[in-house]
Amino acid sequence: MALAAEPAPDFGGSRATGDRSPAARLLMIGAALLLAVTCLANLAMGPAGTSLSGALADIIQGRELSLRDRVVLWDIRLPRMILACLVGAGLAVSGAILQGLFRNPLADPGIVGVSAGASLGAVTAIVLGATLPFGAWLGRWLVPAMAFLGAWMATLLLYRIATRAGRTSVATMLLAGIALTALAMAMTGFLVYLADDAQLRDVTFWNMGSLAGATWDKIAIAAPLILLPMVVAPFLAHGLNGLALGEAAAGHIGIPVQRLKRSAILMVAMSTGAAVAVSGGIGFVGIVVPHLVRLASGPDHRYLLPNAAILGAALLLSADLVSRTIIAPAELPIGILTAVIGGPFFLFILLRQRGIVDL
Amino acid sequence: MLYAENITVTLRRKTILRDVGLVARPGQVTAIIGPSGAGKSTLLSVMTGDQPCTGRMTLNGRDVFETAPRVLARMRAVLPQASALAFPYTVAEVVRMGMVDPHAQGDLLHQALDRVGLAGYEARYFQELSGGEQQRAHLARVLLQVWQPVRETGPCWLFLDEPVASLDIGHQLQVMQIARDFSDQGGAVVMVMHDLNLTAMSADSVLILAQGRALVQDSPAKAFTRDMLSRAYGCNLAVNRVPDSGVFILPQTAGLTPGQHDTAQDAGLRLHPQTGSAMR
Repeated sequence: MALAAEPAPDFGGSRATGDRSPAARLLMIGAALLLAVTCLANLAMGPAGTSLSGALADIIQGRELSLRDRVVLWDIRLPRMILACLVGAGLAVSGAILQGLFRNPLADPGIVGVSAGASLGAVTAIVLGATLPFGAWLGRWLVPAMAFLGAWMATLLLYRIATRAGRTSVATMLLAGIALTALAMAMTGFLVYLADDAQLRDVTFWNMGSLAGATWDKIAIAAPLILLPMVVAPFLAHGLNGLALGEAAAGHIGIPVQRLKRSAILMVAMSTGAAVAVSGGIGFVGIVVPHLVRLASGPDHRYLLPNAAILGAALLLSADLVSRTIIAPAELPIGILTAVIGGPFFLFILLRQRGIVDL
Repeated sequence: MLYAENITVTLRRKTILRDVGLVARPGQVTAIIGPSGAGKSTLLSVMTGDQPCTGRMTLNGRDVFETAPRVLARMRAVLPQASALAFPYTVAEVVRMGMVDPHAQGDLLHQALDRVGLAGYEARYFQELSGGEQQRAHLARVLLQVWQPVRETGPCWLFLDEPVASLDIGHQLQVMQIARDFSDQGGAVVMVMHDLNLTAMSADSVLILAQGRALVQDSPAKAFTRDMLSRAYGCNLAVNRVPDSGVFILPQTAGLTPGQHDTAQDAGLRLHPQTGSAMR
């Protein structure tokens, strides 16, 4: 995992002051370096055997790149690298925002029904396909578009259910999310029952998640939807910190709580919807990455959100590198990999932390 | 000034507060007392703008329900009853959340912690603290929020919901002194209290609530009469007088009022403890 390689946080002289921002800044530098390394590694390595240094030497010396190298670097590895960054950062930040909003370290887009909604949308598109209105017109964009729509509808429905008289109940939202997830999964199950063999295969692979389909068009569509929440996130940080005191106390220190909740939900829906639409069901990034950052440098959202973004990107890049090299030339779906590493690692952290500090 | 007039709160068709009025002034400590379930905390949350109600409620001439949270936050701070904190923040991080004024000068964090007797606790995890320490850490956060009792915009307000509930007697006195100092410097303090003697000692004005109605608002010396307290708490309380320094209530001298005999055993147990604060 990305952070396992990081040294234990050195509080230095700041330990006595309880100010962990030096540690957080240190973590940010470390994570950024890690991100740079993983980016380069993803560009340099792959089953095609194209060498990045060779290609760079060619460019510097003014030689034409071979068509093969150009395609491998420019049309396959680079868009895939960028997509991995976007999805990793988007999922990790969404997780961190949701956890702050729900005041619960176990909140995750998967829990509040966003992922289930996206999955229902995607499976509907795969199974019913061209029979849907706009189906033929959207063509290969049908699956991501429906996944995004599904994520949005689930989120907005949830928000409507949990909001009464202008106040959103976070507890209602969590419980309604579980109910919506069950409902969406039942409908997905019904569609799966109707599906033929080829569609079943598509559904299965979509649910396992993959970055293999990365293209520049996909990036052009997903990037604004994921980057906008990144830009907004720093403005939510102060409010999310205050929310840790409880909603009433957050209001008392001047935080417009209802506006904060509304923006946070919108940002999460946008970011998760786009990430899931282009990559399928990649789990655990949203829950493991923020948790790691909290362990290393505390829960202050002013640092948690950017650090989670950087580490999330680095983590997904590493996972993608492994997924496409470990059984090359075949490819392991990345969702399997993140779950195989993320699950036990998360359990390990939970067990170690149990009883020391209330998460 | 704080004016609350005809405050009525109805929740699920049950009337929690009925036509309650309260006036609180800068430079004074105003206490709200009454038995459990009388509506004390509800009244406090009306004053902090958290509880919708009918009636009129103004703070420094502003309608609190029409004022933006950011503006209110610079005018008043609220100490809640014990509440759970999410995520492992350090004491310093929690207290600093009260710093709503970005232009604040100096090392206020340490001064605030020092003020509540938690100097050196900066790097401790909030969740590691005992209940009383957590309460005082929150008090430090709240004090930091209104560090200047008087701002150019007017006096600042401290709303404290049972600030001494989980504290030992030494820290109870310390917290009452903090409230006293804040009002002496021109600020205003409104607090919900259970302890009648601490209230008698440090409040300038006391509102007695019982069953959602205000019985009286006056100075402790005038409001704490045998008749009034006995009516509010449903037991026969004797008020005693110390020369030159107000009144006190000794639970040992209390008796039960008629009509309470069916719960005499239960009530008798409750009246035995050595301090008045156990008389809930």
